[in-house]
Amino acid sequence: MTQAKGTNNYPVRPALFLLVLLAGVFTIIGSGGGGGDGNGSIDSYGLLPFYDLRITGVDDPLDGWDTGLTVAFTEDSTTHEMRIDPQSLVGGFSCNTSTEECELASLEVTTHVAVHDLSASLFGDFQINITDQLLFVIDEAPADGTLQIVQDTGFGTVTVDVTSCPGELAGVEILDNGASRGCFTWSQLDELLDSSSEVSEQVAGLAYGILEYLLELSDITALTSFDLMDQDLASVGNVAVPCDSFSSAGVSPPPPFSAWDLGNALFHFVDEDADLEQSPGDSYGFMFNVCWLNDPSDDMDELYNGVIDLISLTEVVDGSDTLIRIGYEGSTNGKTGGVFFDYFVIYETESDTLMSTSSITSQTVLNGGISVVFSAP
Amino acid sequence: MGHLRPHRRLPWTALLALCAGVALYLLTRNPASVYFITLLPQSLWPDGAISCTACGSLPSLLHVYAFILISAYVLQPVTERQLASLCLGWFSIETLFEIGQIETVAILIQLHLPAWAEQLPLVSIMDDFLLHGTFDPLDILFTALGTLAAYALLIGRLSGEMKDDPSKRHKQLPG
Repeated sequence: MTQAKGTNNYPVRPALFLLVLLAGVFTIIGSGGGGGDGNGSIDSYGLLPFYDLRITGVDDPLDGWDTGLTVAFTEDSTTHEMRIDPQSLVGGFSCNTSTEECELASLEVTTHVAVHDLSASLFGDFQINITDQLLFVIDEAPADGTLQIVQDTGFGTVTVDVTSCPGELAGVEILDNGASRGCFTWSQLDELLDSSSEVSEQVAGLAYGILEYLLELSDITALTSFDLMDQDLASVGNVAVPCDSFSSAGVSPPPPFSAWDLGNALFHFVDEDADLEQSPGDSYGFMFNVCWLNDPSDDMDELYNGVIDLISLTEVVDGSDTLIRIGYEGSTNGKTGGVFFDYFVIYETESDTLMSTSSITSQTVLNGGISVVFSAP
Repeated sequence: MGHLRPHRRLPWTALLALCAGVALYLLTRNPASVYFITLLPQSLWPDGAISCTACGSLPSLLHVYAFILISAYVLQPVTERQLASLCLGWFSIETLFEIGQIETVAILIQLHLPAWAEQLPLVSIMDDFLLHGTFDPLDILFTALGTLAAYALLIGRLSGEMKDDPSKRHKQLPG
């Protein structure tokens, strides 16, 4: 008879079984109760000076199980629709541990974003890759780095190399399959897509705009939610997010929202594990009703309408009360974790204070989901 | 004395079941809500996840199945009754922990825990498990299925042993 080594030694068996029993119990209780702090609100904790940011596309059952975001941009009665799939958008965030303010510091070479031209009105499908780390100076455009836009057929490879343009103006040099198209300042790059310039230049403007857009979306959703969940949402259920009134800015609301001088927005809590506390695996959501956000320094502003679901909070605090991971990822109650947009519309408005009017200049309809996670490097 | 042959396949089968359970946790749960995933370096955490409602209770089946097999390998039960007790024992443990996740039960346990016990690392993990875990009757159903699957595998093996050596049948199998 085959005998397992040691198991034919009778006094050893109870001891071994005790170990098996302990392992069994440990793996039962270890299957739950991770990272959270177990309080009704997400307590304040220390921050690390650096975090990695990772944005990845997730499958969205409400968006035909497609991965990533479907973005339909309409301006001047023309709609361009594309699906943006951040296979991995990896960034570095630097944080001031005293003021707890964090800013994007870099985009890493492991960044790959696939873009599908759904309306066939742009440049076909292409891939955006960071080929040399993009380094950002706080609140400013990148100071160094390179990104490449690649299409197997069609335009080939467009390279956007961060450089100093003549006159020491910060900008980029665009290369069309290795041949220089010249130097463009950041504000010129912004406007390339709207211009009648060469395809390679338009593609460069679009690609950089897509990266900026993904970062902005994670900022207005995930980062905003982290601030809002400081409140005791487990007790109160939801909090109002302030919107601005058109009348206080001295303009009338734009059609078709003429009756909405002041919209509203709510941030709500979903207690997925029914433990009456905010803890990992719980979800949140924004509900915007014609919510206008006015930047007094700029005539161009944004108006939000629709729903954003923030599913499956991840939050891990280490033994010294320092946050080492936060975001939306994994899965909870059979729902994939991430930031999900469900016919969420961002309207760009333009105010004319002389005429006391405002108008909508473009609209972007967002569907789909991305996972957003900040973690210790 | 005859006993359940401690075949080498048992622990490997158990390990396979446990690995499948861990993979399910990595792919279908929020990693921060699973204590043992938080022990892994963050570089090993999964990038994405799949939503799978049906997968929710499968780990309960795999866990009880695996630990019954490992226990049987270690204890080598001799009779059907011993084997049944082993299976029932694991089913009871798993079910008690599931029932402990009912909110009122979890709060009662927490209220009656002495303060010193709450400082013990294993107890504080258990506290989190009970308070943040979700009671799901389906988990108990899947635990029962896992128990039955393990029992069926082991009783088949035990019966096979008896068939190989009929002299043991009267001694070890009542009735």
